[in-house]
Formats: sequence, C-alpha cells, structure tokens
Amino acid sequence: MNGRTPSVRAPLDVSQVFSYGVLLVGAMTSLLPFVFMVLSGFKDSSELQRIPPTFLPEQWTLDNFTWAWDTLRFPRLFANSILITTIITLSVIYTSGLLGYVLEKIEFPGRRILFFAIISTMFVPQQIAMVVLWDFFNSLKLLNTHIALIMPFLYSGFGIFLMKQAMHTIPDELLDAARIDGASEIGIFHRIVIPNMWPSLAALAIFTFMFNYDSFFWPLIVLQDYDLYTVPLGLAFFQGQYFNDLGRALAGTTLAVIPTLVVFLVLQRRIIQGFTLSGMKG
Amino acid sequence: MGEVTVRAVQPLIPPRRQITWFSVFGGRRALLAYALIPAVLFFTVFWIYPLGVGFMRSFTNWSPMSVRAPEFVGLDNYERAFSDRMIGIAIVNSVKFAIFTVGLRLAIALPLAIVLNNLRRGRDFFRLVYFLPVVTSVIAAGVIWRFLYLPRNGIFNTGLSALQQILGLSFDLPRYLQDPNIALFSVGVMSVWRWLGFVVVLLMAGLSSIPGEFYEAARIDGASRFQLFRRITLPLLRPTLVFVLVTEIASELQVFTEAFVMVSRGSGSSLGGPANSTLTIVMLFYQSAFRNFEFGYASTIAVIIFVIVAVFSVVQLWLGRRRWEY
Repeated sequence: MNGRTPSVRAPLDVSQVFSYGVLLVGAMTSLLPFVFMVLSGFKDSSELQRIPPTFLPEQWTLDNFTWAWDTLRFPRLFANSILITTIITLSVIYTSGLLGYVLEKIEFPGRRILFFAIISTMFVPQQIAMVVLWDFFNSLKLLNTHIALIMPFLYSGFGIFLMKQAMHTIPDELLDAARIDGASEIGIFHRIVIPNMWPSLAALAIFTFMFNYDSFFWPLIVLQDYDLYTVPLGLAFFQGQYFNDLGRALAGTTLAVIPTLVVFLVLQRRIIQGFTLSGMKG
Repeated sequence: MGEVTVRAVQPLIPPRRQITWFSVFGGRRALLAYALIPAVLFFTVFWIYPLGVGFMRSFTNWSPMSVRAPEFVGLDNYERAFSDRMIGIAIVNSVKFAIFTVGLRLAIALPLAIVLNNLRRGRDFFRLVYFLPVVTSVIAAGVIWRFLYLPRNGIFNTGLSALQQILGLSFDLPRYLQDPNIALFSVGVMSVWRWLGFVVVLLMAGLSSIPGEFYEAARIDGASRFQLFRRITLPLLRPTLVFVLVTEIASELQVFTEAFVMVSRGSGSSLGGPANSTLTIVMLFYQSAFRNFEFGYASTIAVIIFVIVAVFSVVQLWLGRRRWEY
C-alpha cells in the first residue's frame, strides 16, 4: 500500500497478480459494452432476437449503419454540435483567462462580490434560472435558434474560478517589468498572460468542449427543428423513434460515439488532466 | 545578489495631461472596463436576474401560454407541492439514486484507485480504459445499457440463465428496466459505470499527494496493510473524499438524462416509468415547466431542488470538517 514504488524491479508477487486481475476485470467492464455496441450494429434484426445472443455477427450487414447514417443525417448533427461547441469554447477560454487575470491580479472595488456571484454558478442548481431564461429567449423570438444555445454559456463560472487559481503562477515582477517597458494593461494580458497560461487554457478548452458537446437538457427545451439539433439530441430522438429496433439504435450510437472516442484517444492525457483539474461533472 | 539597492520607483508623470491613445486605452481603467462591463452584464442577465425572478415567480401562477401577467398567489404553489404525492415520490427516488450511485461508485473506485496508484506498469493504460465511458455521450451510454439489460437476450440475463442451467435452479430472470422495484437501480448501475473512471482519476490525484514516507515509517513500526489504509490513507485522503462526495451527491440529486433516455422514448412520451419508479425531481421540474408550461409551479419545484441540494451539501461539509475519532 505504498504510493511510491521502488525503481528496482522485483518479481511479481501474489498481491501484484491479484491487483492485475482486479484491474483487468474493471477494464473488461469498461470496454465490453462498447464491443457489444459495435458488433450488434452489424447484425440483422432476426439475429438480434436470437436466444442466446451471438457474439460475433454470423452475417455481417451494413444495413443498420446506412439506415442510421441517412436517417440521423449525422453530418448535419455533427456540424451543428461542432459549431456551437467551438464558439462556446473559444469564448470561455478567452473570458475565463481575462476574468481570472483581473480577479487575481488587479485590485478594484467589488472584487469579492463579483467573484462570489461568479462561483455561485458552480454550486447553485441551474433549474431556477432556466425557466426565466427560456421565457427570456421566447420573448425575444430566439427560441429554436443556435443563439439561444450559445449565449448563456459564453462565460463559465467554473472556467473563471479555474483560471483565477492558475494565475497564482504568474509572477508580479513579470507584469511590472512589462509595465515599465510601457506596455498597456490590455496588451499585457494578450502578450504576456495568455502565452504563459497556455497549458491551463488548453486543459480548460478541452474540458469545456467535451462538457458542452454532451449537453442535453438546455438543447432539449430550446430546439424544435431537427435541422438545428446537436448530436446528443439527434441521438435521443433517433433512439426514441427506433426504441425497439436496437440494431438501428446501436448503429446510430456507434456513429455518434466514434468521433468522441477518436478525439479522446488522441488527446487523452490532456483530457484526463482537464477533468482532474476540474473535479466537476455535468 | 551582492548588495541591495533601494530604488524608489517614480511614477512617470507626463508634463501636461495629454489625451493620447495610451492614456485612454492603456491603463488599468481601460482593462477593467474591457473585462468587467461585459462580464457584469452577462452574469446579471443570464444568472443573477433569472435566479431572482425565478425565485419571486415561484409565488405566482406564471405561465408562458397565458397572455396575462403572472399574479401573486402567495404560498399556493408551495402548499400544492407539499401535498403533491408525485413530488414526494420524486424526492425519494432522487435521494435513493444519489446515495446508491455515489456510494457504489466510491466503493468500487477507491480500491481501484489504490491498486492503480501502486502499479508498476500499465497505470496509464488502465486509467485510459476506465476513462472511456466518461467521454461517451450519456445518450449513447443509455442506448448501450438498454441493450445489455434486454430481458430475453441481453447479456446479463444470458449470463444468468446459463448460471441457472449449470446450477439447476429456476427463478424468474429480472426485468431490469420494466420492474418498478429495480428500474431505478438499473439506471443507477449505468451511471456508476459511466462516471467510475472520473472518480478513480480524482482519487488517484488525492492519493499521489500523500507522502510515501508516512507509509514507510508506519511499516517499520510493523503496521498491517489494513492499518496503513485506516490510519494513513483514509485520514489523509479525507479532503479529496469530502470534495468528491459533495460534488457527486449534488450532481446525482439532479439526475435527469440517464433516466429520461433509458426508460422513456424521449419527447412526448410519459416520464418516470415504470410506475413512477424512475421519476426524479428534475424530471418532475421538466414536466411541469416544459410539458405542462406551469412556470410558477415549476419554479417552486426548482426552489425545492435548490433547498435539497443545499441541505445535502452543508450536512456533508459539516460532517467532513469534524475530526474523525479513532
């Protein structure tokens, strides 16, 4: 039960074997549902009804996938999700950096109250505000638009909190030196703070992207046109349509999951780091 | 550094007050205006104002379908809520769900995190695999698990019926999502699976901050593994554990999507089945706000959600702050 392991490699003992055994069972539990999902998408509906079920498809068929691709109009959903999530993410990293910097490094009256209001967004459940916001967008005739999906998320209380913490690492001397050199205060933020904060901003960007990509409740109550749907919304709609036709539902799910998994496998280190920094979930 | 020279930094005072580009856009005021005006506007419009108005309107008969302005109805909505059987069911379901998922997830994640943290090789691989479900869309996870839970030929019941044949037993195979007694927990198991890797990663971060010397010293004193866990790991991990518990419970109390996607057919169909066993408090909020368009009453439910989450958080923080007795 030691946090630090000796660098000398000792032969595996019983407890090590046991550890790997436990971890492998855990890994199987994590992975197998995905394997079933992919394989079952290739089965036809009569094979899916069979008792006991087959593991590998006896007759590989692409019907479910082509059907799901056409019906889901996946490129459309994907484009919507990417557009919305990219705008939100760009805005959140910029505004979080800016507000985090100002709240940490610049004195101004009302700083504590502002910070308190901002971090309250992390702890107070959102439902009370949601009804009023829905009504607000409704009265502006902006329901069922991407604007309503983007606007309320341009700032993130969590992002500001995270960046304020990260700003500890910027030495005041660096900022003062730039001031003596005649840099403007806004210029200091753009030319000194942002480049120095890049790793934290990248972690925040990835977290913000993944979190908003999977957002469900707000799009569900705001959007009506399928053309505007995001991936989770389209997938939920699709699986409701084909509730009892699991081959199609699973094929659609596979299509929707693949881009996320690819991005995750490429960026896994930073993603896990981003989630660890955050300690929060949807 | 040899000698210290004390310099007085003279502020640069221009000889005349000139209005230059720099004097307008270069200073602190410009930065503060640039940063704060949009931010204050944003948080007022999209957070403080909606919170305030939402709370006030929980005392009205507000409906977006009505052309009339909301009328103040006093505590009517609250009286209705306290006598509403559905709200009681939904609160009990949400609390059950939160305690079940957070408890089970932590019980699995803590041993996994400890084992992973001590691993010589393969730590990154396992962490990656455990994290895969976290990044999967919750809707996708719901579809997959609906498939695993199929009563006739899902993977769980296939395994169980094989077991039946081997042991020569016969019992009714569970109907995971159709049986009101277990549907909520079936949804909960999916949620445990999906977020397990997240909690493992958080706990690993907490564990790796415990100095290894503590363990070495205790081991020299002849402490057993259980004692190491009980006297070192657990107390030093307490801040992480409290943090994980508070945030997890708060978010699981607000569960919506998992149950929504696994049990109902989505928009238009009835919610919270079978027999209201998966009706959660946020689902009830969704139903009264966006199906029945009773915004006043929905605001009341939202206030109740807020109170429940706040009570749970405060109690846990209070318990977590107390020193544990040994």
